[in-house]
Amino acid sequence: MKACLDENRILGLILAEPGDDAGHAHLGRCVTCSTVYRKLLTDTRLITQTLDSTARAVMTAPRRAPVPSLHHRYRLRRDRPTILIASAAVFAGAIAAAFMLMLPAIESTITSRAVITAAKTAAPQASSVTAAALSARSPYMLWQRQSGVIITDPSEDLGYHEAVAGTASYQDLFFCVPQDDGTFCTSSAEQG
Amino acid sequence: MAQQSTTAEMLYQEHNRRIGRLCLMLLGNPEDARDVAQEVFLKVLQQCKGMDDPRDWSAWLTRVAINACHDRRRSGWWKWWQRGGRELADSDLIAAGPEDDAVRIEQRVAIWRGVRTLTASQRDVFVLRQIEGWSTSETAEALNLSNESVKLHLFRAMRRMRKALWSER
Repeated sequence: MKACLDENRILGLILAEPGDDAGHAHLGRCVTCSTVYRKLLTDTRLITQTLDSTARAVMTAPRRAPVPSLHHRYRLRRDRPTILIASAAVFAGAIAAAFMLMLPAIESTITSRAVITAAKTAAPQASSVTAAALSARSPYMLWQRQSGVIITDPSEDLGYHEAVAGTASYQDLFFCVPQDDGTFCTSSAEQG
Repeated sequence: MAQQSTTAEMLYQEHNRRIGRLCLMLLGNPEDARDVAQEVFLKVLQQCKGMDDPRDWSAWLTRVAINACHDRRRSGWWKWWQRGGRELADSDLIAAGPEDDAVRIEQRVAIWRGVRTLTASQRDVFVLRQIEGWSTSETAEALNLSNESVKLHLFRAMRRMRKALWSER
């Protein structure tokens, strides 16, 4: 006697076209296999009919209110990859952010050079301002000097002072101690 | 001209629902299915103006619908959109037949979940063979597959659907 057909083989028989009779002869003789066949046939019909009827009902149902798609909302063309546009926007944003972060540094450099140039040209007429400007590395430091606020690191001035003003201002370091009036450094000239 | 539009209108009346259903099963999304079905009937209008009429409009429409669904699936934005899970919702399925009992609703939801697990080829073959009733060779020709591939895809599709159905029982 031939062995029973497995479930996959029986499913294959159900899905085969009518002309394909291989295996059907066994189904006619075997009760077990014909029971499995009927069960699988029921499942197959249920699946097909359910899909068909549901699709029919969904497509004839009234349409829901249209929700504007991303493409309509942002007026994007459908054939243009959205991801590229999003990437370009992010890239542009990153460049803008980087520029904003660098802006204070650029501004500081430009203004500092302008102050030094102005101080050099006006040196004979306003010696006190010139001295303060020459010893200041930036407008902020100039303000610090003029208003007597303690600066964080007086040695920062040293190399710059020598290079621009041509003076041996390293001596000023000897006088960089906290004073009673809140100032930190006094120039060697003031010290006498 | 009037005759052309009459032909197109008749075809629309006759096949609109079937093509819409087909597109829904291939794409899994009612809005996309309606869009693609409209594209198909626009092509009918163009066809009426230009080339000779196909002998079998039904088969021609089915082929155009399948190709339009393939184009829609291939487009990048659709893939991106589908990743968000915008498929036929369970609520649509429940609302599809209010007269049904709870068991049948569960079965329906389970079967459509099974459809979502099918690959594109399995879905195409399943719809053409089981829903449209095409033969293996017709399906193979329309989808550029061999007869054996069609049989294999159909078998695997049905096995997956049964698995989805039985996982809910």
